[in-house]
Amino acid sequence: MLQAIDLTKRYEDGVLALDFLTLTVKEGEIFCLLGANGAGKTTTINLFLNFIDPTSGQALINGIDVTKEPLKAKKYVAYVSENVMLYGNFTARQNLDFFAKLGGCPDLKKEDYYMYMRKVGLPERAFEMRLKNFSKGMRQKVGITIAIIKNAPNILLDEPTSGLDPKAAAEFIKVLSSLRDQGKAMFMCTHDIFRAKELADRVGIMKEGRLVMLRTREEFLEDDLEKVYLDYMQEAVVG
Amino acid sequence: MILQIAIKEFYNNLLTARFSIGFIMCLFLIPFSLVVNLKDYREQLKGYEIERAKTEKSYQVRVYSALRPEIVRPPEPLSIFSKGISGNAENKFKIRLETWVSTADGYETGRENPLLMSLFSMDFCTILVFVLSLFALLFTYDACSGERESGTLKLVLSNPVHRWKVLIGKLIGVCLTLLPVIMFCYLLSALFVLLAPEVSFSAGEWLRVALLIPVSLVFFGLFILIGLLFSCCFRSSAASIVLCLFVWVISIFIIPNLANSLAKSLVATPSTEELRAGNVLLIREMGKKINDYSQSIIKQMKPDFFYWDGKGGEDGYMEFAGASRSTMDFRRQFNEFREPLRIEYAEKKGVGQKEYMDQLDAQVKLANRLALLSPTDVFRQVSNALCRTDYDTRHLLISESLQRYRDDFIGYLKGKKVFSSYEYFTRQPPGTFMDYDEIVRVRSGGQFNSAAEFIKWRKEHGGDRSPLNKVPIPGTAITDYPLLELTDMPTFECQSPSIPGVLRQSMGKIAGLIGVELVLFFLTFVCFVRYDVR
Amino acid sequence: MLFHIILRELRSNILSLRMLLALVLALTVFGLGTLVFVANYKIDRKEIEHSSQQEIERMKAAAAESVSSLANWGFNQDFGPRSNSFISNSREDNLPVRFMYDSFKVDRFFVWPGRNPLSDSCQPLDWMFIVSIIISFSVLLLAYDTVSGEKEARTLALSLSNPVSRGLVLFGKYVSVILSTILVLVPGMALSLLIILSSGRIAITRGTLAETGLFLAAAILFVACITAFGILTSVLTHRANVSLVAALSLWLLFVVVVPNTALYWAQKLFPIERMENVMQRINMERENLEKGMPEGWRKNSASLVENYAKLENEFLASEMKVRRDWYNQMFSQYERTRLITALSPIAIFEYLCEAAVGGGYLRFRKNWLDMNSFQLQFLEFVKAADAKDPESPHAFSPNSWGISGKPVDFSDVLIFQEKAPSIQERFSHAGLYLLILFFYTTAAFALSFVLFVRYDVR
Ligand SMILES: Nc1ncnc2c1ncn2[C@@H]1O[C@H](COP(=O)(O)OP(=O)(O)OP(=O)(O)O)[C@@H](O)[C@H]1O
Ligand SMILES: [Mg+2]
Repeated sequence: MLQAIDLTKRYEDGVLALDFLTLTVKEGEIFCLLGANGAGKTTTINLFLNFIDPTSGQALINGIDVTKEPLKAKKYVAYVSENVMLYGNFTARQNLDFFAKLGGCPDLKKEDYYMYMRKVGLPERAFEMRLKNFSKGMRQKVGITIAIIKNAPNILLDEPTSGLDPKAAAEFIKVLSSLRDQGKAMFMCTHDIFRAKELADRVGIMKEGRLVMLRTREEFLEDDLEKVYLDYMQEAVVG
Repeated sequence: MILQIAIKEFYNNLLTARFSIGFIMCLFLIPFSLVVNLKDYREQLKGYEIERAKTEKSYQVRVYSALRPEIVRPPEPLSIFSKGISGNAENKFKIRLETWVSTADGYETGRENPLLMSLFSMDFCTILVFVLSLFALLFTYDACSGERESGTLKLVLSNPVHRWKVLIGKLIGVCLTLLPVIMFCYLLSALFVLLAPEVSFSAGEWLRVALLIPVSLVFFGLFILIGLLFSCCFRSSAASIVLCLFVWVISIFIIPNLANSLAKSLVATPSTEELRAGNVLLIREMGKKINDYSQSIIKQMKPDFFYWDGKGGEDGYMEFAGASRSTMDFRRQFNEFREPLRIEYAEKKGVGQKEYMDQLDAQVKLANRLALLSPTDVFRQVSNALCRTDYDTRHLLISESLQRYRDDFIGYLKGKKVFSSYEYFTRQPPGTFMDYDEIVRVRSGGQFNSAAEFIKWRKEHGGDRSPLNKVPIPGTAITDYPLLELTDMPTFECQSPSIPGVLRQSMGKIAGLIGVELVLFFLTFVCFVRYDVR
Repeated sequence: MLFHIILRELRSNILSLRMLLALVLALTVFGLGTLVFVANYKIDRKEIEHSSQQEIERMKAAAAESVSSLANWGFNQDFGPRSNSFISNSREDNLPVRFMYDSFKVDRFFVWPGRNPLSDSCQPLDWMFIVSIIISFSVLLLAYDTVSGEKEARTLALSLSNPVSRGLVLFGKYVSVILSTILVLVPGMALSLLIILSSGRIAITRGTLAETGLFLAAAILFVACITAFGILTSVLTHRANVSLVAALSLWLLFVVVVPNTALYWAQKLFPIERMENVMQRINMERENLEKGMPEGWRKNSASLVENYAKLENEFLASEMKVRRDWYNQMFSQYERTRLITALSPIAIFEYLCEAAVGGGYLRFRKNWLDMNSFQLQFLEFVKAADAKDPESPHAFSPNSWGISGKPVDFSDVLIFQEKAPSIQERFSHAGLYLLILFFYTTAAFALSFVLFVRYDVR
């Protein structure tokens, strides 16, 4: 379970990146956060990962305050970052191996890694290829695999589908759905409204650090999500 | 967990292009430096052999006035590892009564061509320092900043690991990468030394080489930490590498050279001219004393200065046979006065010389102290000390060993009372000395009855001495006598700082390095804990 | 268009950290080095003046004694520190600067005996050192990622998607690195000159300014060469950190390896005769000459002086022949070794600086030749003085009593004056090295051009 309670972040230069965010993502739920560039999505994730300290408020992972017990909290969370480079000199499997051990799954075998990589749709030839020769989407898939292998109850995803081809994206959606079925709480920042609409249990729209809209699946299925989003953005220009 | 990270770092380093390039550099430069230095050592050895053959002759003498021991120091085999000042100081010394032990004496270590003095050469330690410190920096400069740029730092830290564990893991990983390279370099050098026929190290020398290893580890640790610190201070690895490299250049090129020139301007090189001028005054004073004395005893003893066979040379060397009794007596008395006086004046000259040397010492010491600002120079000083090519070893040689030997030697001469004995300049037994008249009578076969007659005759005959060749007197040629037996001569023993002594001396420097490392580690730790991973 | 590219590159260079660091470091070392130079110059100058003064005194004494003493006493000629050695000392601390001569021969040269034998050989922080170490290093740091770095940042593809030729882009980068380096170099030189001017101890003449100009020209050529190498390393690889390692290896090769192996090459490739051999040869010749004299000549008092003089002259001629031959071996050993070190542009730069300031080996060689011709003049002078004396036997030879015993008026005695190498001499000294440097530069740039044209910008 991911919880944000009055989470606020003001950067040193005075930018208010996150303004009293209160939010809960329950087990078996996918929460999609939409928002313009610079709205504060990545900031939220960084706060959950304790990469930055909140100005005020709390971020809880499975009820554990990340600022107080960061290590304990990190046990329960996996992370897919946007556009990760990973270790260019290692092969995909070596990268997975390293992060699996860090994440606390020390005894996975080669076959297991191959299985996971197949699952996210990496081509076989890439399994033992140096990562520096990967395309952007292939790297992204390795990043996703790392999160899957960690098998944590919560997953934070920062624009995971950027750079994925439509087929891969569709497969990725399937993977996420199956993870949801396993009861994982997922928090995903994305610009991909259609995937969000397809996948999310709840959708939020963030604007200048504030959550300006929050709808459940039932609610937004009726609306045209894109139109809603654009409307909110429009207001920004007017307001 | 730390292990995992260390192993990952290790593999990651191994797989990089910089590792292969650096390793190839080592593979190429280390043997090359050894070949170069072995060649230089061989040249020095050649020069040494020639010089030593010459010094053997300095003990083959018939009289004590010819006995002036020559000492040639063999080239230092450890200079293959660390040259120090072994290349620019001379290795041959002659013990004289008239001069105090000095540095300005002897041959220039096998460099026949004085122009070659202006060419530089490098030793094993220099290459090691250059290449491996660069190596250390290149492996650490992007340890944090690089991972941040590639986003992996975020991924790593999204796992339940302490940051310090990540840092330690990285540190161990880099050490694991560098350690084999350093060991490889040392093993390679040991192999070269073992295979070179002309060099053979004693156990003590091997120990000294072995001690170089931990010292170099401490030294490279410092560069590793500098690299890590910069990598944790900066968000971009481009910035951290630039800073690292500037620190490197400053430490290797700027500080040592600056320290030397600065020391020269702070403690001026003493003037050899002044020293010489002072010596000239003393020599003049002494010359006058000797002259006065000889005039007075000539007046008193009225020697006739008849020499049959004789030779003379520097530093009081004289050797006679078949001279007249009055001449021999005069010589004996003259030496009895002159030689102690010359020793006394040598001591007096020594005062100025000591001052001169002290100033040279002060300059070097200051330069060394200033250069301690650079870690490379700390390593250089320690490695020179271990390899017996440093300034202290030299100092010990000049102002202790040679000094003591000179004292011993003079004590030996004095103990035998040679200055007041005939043996100082002739081997002819005093009982066989003859008067001038007698010599003339015997040699001319009765042609002349007295010296006065002969002198008169000679004047009339244009300086002809041939009548004296008629009847030879046995035992009046220098070569009639055997060489001196010098079994009880004191022998020269060269002291060099012992290993414990060197260690004690270098302790401070090494401790300083370690201290700086601890501080650096602490700073790195603080920076890394506060590092913004985004 | 070229102008536009250069301007952009310059702007980004000037704002970069490395440029700032290079500037700070260069200015600091320029300043410190010059301060130290000013302090040391005074001390060294005093010492050398002292010793020269002493030689003059000795010469006076010899002249007052007799023509014979003037002819036979050996004198030292010292070549003191140059006032322009803040530009380049050219290793004069380690080169022979003292020549020994008498009227018959110039037969030996020594390194300055007053230097501290206990201290490590170090390079003074002159302009040449700063350029060859700090500036060359900065140049490489500026140049190593001009191409590979831009590729990584993907800006290269962006620029090349515009209608500009690749050659132009590369040339623009090349020129801008050189220009930025000049921006570091010139303030440093100005600072250094300022310090010297304000110290008031060393006069800056028009000649010094001309030498400064020559030095600047040499430095720019050198920087152009190193930049070409830096760009080459950048074009060779696709990743900035690999090209950095390549650039550093190259730099190590140029700065450390090549110059420091000179001694080895000298001993290995161009060995010369050992001193013992030479001495042996001289002695053998002597013995032969002595044997060649008529039987019992020493007893023949009538022609003893003439015969003795003849023999001594023969000795001298044979010894000088052997010695000259040996010296020539030394010179050619040294010169050839230098040619080998010309593998490294940094060594070439050093030789160019030597030519620019008229110091180092150029100065040594010139002085050696000048000394030799001076010695002939001196001999003529002494002979003339001897000829004036009717009582002299006129048996002119070394170590002999066949020369006039009358004193000479010291004011007539010739004294050696050092002449700085002329412009022609400097250029002929530098010519070959300039050619090599030029070759390196064009080769490296041409190679990087070829590689850049094929460079994969993705
Ligand atoms: N280190 C920082 N210091 C100051 N301001 C920052 C910092 N990082 C982010 N910001 C500001 O915080 C705001 C939110 O940034 P954030 O990265 O969370 O946006 P985002 O929603 O993830 O955007 P995108 O869709 O482009 O990824 C932006 O206005 C940004 O300028
Ligand atoms: Mg973002």
